[in-house]
Amino acid sequence: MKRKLLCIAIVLAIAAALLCACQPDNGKIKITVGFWPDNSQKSDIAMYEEWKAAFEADYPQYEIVAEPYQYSPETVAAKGNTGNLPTIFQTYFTEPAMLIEEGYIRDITEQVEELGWLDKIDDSMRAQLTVDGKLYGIPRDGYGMGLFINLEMLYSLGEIDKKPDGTYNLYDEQGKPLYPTTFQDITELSRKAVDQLSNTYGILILSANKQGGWQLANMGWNFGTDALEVQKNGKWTANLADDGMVQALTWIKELANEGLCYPGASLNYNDWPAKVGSSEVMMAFVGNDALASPITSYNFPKDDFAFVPMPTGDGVSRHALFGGTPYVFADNASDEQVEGALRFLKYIGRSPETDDIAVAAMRKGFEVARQKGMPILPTIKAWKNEDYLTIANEMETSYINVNYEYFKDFFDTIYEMRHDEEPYYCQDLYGLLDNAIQNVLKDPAISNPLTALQTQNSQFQQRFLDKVK
Amino acid sequence: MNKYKAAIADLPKIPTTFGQKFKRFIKRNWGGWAIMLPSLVLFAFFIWVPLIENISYSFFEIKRFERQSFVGFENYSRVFQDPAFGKAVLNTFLYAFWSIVIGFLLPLFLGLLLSETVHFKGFFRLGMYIPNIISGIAVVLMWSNILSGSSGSMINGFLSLFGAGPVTVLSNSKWVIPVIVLVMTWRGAGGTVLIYLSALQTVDSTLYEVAKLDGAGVFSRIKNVTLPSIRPTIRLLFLLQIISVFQVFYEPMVMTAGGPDNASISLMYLCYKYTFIDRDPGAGAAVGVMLALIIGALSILYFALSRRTKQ
Amino acid sequence: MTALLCLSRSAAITAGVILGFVALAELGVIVYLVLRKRVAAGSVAVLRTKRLRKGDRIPFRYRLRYKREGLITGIEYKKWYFKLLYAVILLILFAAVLTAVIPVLWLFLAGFKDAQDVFKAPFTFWPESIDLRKVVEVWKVVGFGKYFLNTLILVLGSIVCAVFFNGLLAYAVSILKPKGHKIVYGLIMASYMIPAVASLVPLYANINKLGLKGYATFIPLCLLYGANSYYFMMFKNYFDTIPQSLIESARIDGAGNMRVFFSVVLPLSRPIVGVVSIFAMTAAWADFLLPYLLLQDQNLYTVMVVIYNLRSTMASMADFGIDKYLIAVAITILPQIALFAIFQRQIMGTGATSGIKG
Repeated sequence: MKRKLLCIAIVLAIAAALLCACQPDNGKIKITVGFWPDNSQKSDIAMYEEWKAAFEADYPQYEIVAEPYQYSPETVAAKGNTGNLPTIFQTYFTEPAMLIEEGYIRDITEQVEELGWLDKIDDSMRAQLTVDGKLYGIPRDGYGMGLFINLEMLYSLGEIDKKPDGTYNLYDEQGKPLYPTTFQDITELSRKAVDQLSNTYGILILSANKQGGWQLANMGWNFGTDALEVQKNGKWTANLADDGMVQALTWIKELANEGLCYPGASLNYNDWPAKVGSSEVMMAFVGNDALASPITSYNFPKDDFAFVPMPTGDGVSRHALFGGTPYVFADNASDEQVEGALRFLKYIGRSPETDDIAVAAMRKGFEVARQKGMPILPTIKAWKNEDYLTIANEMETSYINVNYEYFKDFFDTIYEMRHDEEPYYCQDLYGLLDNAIQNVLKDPAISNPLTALQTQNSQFQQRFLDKVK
Repeated sequence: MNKYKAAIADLPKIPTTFGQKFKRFIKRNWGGWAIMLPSLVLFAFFIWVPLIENISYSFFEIKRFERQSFVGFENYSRVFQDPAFGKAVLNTFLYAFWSIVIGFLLPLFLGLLLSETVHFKGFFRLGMYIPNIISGIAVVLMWSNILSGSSGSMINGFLSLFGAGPVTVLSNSKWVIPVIVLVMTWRGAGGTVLIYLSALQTVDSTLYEVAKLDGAGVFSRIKNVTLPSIRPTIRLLFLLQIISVFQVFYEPMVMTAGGPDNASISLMYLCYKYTFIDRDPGAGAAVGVMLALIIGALSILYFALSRRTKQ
Repeated sequence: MTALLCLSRSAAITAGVILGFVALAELGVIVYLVLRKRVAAGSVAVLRTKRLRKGDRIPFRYRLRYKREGLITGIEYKKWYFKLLYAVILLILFAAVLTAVIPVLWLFLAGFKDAQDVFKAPFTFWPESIDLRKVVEVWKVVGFGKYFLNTLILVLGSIVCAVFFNGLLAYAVSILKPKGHKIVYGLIMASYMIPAVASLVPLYANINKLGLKGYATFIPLCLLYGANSYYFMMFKNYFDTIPQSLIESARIDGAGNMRVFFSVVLPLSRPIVGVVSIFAMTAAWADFLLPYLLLQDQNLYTVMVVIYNLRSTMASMADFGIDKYLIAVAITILPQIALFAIFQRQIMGTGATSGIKG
């Protein structure tokens, strides 16, 4: 008897769970929001609930439906092919081309123009989101790549002094920076770090999860490679084995050979806060949008690091890889849904608008971040209209809770140093570059950067770039 | 008269025509088929149809997981030109080799020892079985942290006791496959030991007595009595080991992403990588077909051998 | 009808929680029974007779002397070098057990260190303190409750499917034997060894084409266990041993095919139903690839998908370092250990072939 009851209970529970997917229809236009905070971010969810309520009060024809979705190129197909993508969701700047090719996202030019936002989008970001003259996304924010340095270590190596107020002085008498500005400087500094500090490596070189390639591309540009994809006779050609790239990889090879970089050939971007946080490395290349991580999760003191511009390899080329996060819209979203979703962006403070609602939302975002104890750092703005920039910068300055001295150079130069990512199959390119880095790292002494890059170059051409018409 | 006619009509008819035979056939068999039908639909949907369709997919250009146009062997040629494929095939044999050296011999050895002990037997059995109860992904996630290249990781802490290290085994192209096999063995050995143990317990003790009377030493007894007695089990486990090694997937996926530079990539992971990371399901299907062929060949071998064992 | 079908999510959760409690209560009873039995066995253990029969428990220190089975016997163990050999054997086995247990122990302890100390050199095994509140915190932050419930649904559904569909098919092939059953058997055997994931592309595409949303996505994931050649074979081999006379007599009583299956065959096959259930349970619990690829909504994730995803999302989570991540992994292991404790005898007794894979 008990067994039977148990069986019935099981069947009922399953049936109930399976069927609760259907929800009553209230005739409203639904906007599913994929960038809704992850279930674990309780205070963020509360903030979004507030924004949702405000939006639905002003636009009663709409209903915001939370559908937290962490974008990943591997799992997007499951949602895309079944038409289950959220109305609006976040992705990376490298993805739109692929998403358009697969037919997962839609053109929103008309709706953005109607709102008068089209010309307010940051030029370079707009270019990255535009394909064949059509706009496919709204930028959330951008990031530039730079160099993270542990200042406490830099100080204990005798490279920098302390000012009377206890903060670090990153410049000499002539005002020239004392932090590394060339890749050669990094090598030398790493050598010192490995010699004089215990259990510490100079720099973290990533090599997996496409993030090694992401960094190597930037290094290659700074060693003099113009682009990794070039047009030759009207045909896109892979340029992975260019001289600058070979020099960049050779630089990695020498670091590894001397044991100056953190050991391992399967390091990815999730490792950097951990390795930096446990003081196992002194430097790392990171995006400015990720700097909070070692502080919130690894108790890294927030005033003990600097974030400085990417070094140069050939003394002339100075570039910072510039990417970011755009909002994109599902292919099957209707015009009304897109309009609603765009308007909702104002209520969460991600629009170029500067009316009370938008400003209050922006402030709310900062407040919640401050309550959570997050370090608040400057950001790179997605909009370029003066009224927005004035308000946004002003507000940001009032909330910044780190020593801006340590970030000044990066933010002063980022707008001229920024270098867009490659236009076609960029993530696939990064993935192949990972292989080249791994090839060098697994046996640095006997590896050959040139052949490693050539192998990946022909792969990239054959398997990906040849598909570009 | 009418009465008789009715009685005759009631008797089961002896089928004479084809139609009647067919009716009787349906009547006798429909019940069984009706019961099989739902399960057969499932088998068709999840196993047979995909297996056949996979072949077809491998000859098509695929977009959004729909077949677009027939491209002949183009998918295959793309796969063959990729150095990762060559490595995956080679690695498959390396995985097989190491899993024989480590994954196959170690449990046999431990099973032999365990069957000989009369103390703490239950404790040993339970202790060795514990890793078996942890599911695949958790084991792999756990070990990727234990094997981390950090000088404070458990492996390096252990090695430093002997003054060695620090090492980054998962980033070393020579070590990565043996280490992955070790992790697989760590998880699987307990279960395999138990199988050997139950086989060893059926070995007839009088055979040992006879061997002893002949003056056979311990090793000679193992060679001439123990191993021949459990040969069917050994052969079965050997083949299952090989076949399972062809499906290595989670370990390279989580621990190394196939790296360094494809040094640990397996066919199964390559199939996944083509399909979901490179968005090239055609190539993924081609790898899947080749994998199925290899496993198919191995299972034919398995059945042939197990039939011979029975005879 | 739709009103009836549209049961609210909370009702489902309530049902699941009740079910969980029932399972927990049963666990308690079983643990009690197991413990009681063990104590009883121990108390009769002291037997000081030299005339031993098979199956008698010998006191600890006499065991080696009276060892009569196996490769080396008690007579040989009188020699010192055999004693040494035996010591070495015990040593090796202790080392094997340590190797098996220590990594798991490390996982359970390392999470209690501070994030920046987990990989701090030199390596230390024990954390400075074990603060169980951290476990509660991780549980809450990750929101494990929901994911465990999802996993529970998947596991129960898979067990039902595994027993029902494979059992019925084996029943038809082994007992009913309709014309053509040999073809079915041949087809299953032919695809016996080839795993479903080898045809990942069409399998994924076909499930995708069903266009399921929400909890309905679980249906194919559960049904997948209904088409398992291995479970089918276990059922068939077992059903082959059921005497036909039992089935005939049920037939004569007027039972139909389904009645015979449920009231004769299944009750007779309890051991094999148990084995298949346990196999399906562990397999469904550990299942990762298809749930990862097919579950589209975070609210549907299973525990395995969550810990895999956490690895990449933790970098963007505030205050979630490697320490908390290791605790999260440990949390996912706990129920497996609990289930093992319940079904220890069945799992370890029934040719633990699951161990060969992976």
